Amino acid sequence: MVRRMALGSLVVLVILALVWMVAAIAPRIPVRSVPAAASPAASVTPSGPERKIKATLYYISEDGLSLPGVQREVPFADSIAEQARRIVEAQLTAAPPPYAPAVPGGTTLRALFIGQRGEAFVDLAGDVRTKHPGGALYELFTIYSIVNALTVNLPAITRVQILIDGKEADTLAGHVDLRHPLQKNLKWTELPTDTDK
Amino acid sequence: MILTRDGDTTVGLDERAAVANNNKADLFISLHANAAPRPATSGAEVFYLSLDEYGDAAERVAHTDSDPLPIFGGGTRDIELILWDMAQARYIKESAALAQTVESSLRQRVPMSPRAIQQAPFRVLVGANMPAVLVEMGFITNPAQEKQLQSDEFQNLIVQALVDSITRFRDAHGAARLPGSR
Repeated sequence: MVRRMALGSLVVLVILALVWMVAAIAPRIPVRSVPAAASPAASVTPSGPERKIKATLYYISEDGLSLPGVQREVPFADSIAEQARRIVEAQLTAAPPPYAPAVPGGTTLRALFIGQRGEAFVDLAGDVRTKHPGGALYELFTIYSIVNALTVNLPAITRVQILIDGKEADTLAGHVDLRHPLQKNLKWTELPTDTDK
Repeated sequence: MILTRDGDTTVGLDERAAVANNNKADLFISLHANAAPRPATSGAEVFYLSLDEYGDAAERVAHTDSDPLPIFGGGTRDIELILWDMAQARYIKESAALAQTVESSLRQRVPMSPRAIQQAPFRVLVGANMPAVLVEMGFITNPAQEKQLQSDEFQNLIVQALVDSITRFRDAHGAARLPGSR
């Protein structure tokens, strides 16, 4: 009888220990992000082992006067923040010929996060400022290549604020007001016609 | 005419608008040299402020009238309570007219960009409490224009265009910045 009670107590203790271990360890097990939350406007192509999306990225035209959209492949991600990060990283790479990059070469993305009201905060390393040659038009192209790449390809992102070295910036190179999130602006994508003047 | 600087010194963007506001200037004209990654890009451009990026706050300021406030000794006085941060919101129509006047005067004298008049959220313009434009006189990344910009002849053409446009704007919109005249 005593032996049975001791065995029963041991079983109960083992069960309690197992329950405690599961409760203590489970929160540390990584959870996968929610799939397919990004709903990108760009189309998903199952080409090769790495899934990709076709996204519209923005580069400077041959005459230097407009910022046309160009379809390019960007790695697919299963969350908006991660997809946004991949789109910006693709925007920061070299421009395909015959276009010129709208963002100075060597610019790096420090971080990207999404606010509750659909604003994306794009934190660029300070190099973007030191490498930028200035000029109102070039600065507009730099800023709106990033703003448009995010808002056009990810409709869930409605506005974009650019930070530099983790801080809110007045301007990038003395012109465009960066103190507020900026919305999509496609007027730079082509030259105005006579009727637009 | 008041210059915000007459040498190669750095003056903050807020400070430039403050100089104009504190001196109750009639117009604010910000002169710049442009740059582009393509050396062939050339021509002058005139910008005025775009309010789209400033949302509802700009819209509210644009429609704000003066408020009657009590004054010492009794009675009230109409005081305009406008944040300098958004002061330009009330002058967008006048600034658009000024931009057109400056553009047409420049066009008679110097080469213009195909983007001759544009609107953009430029930091230096937003705090100006009067009609305001930003003029990009030419591209220093274009070797021929860089030479032009350094020459007395080209600089005189720019000055003549600005004087002509200011005179024409005064004649057409002289009372534009007086409160209640919009």
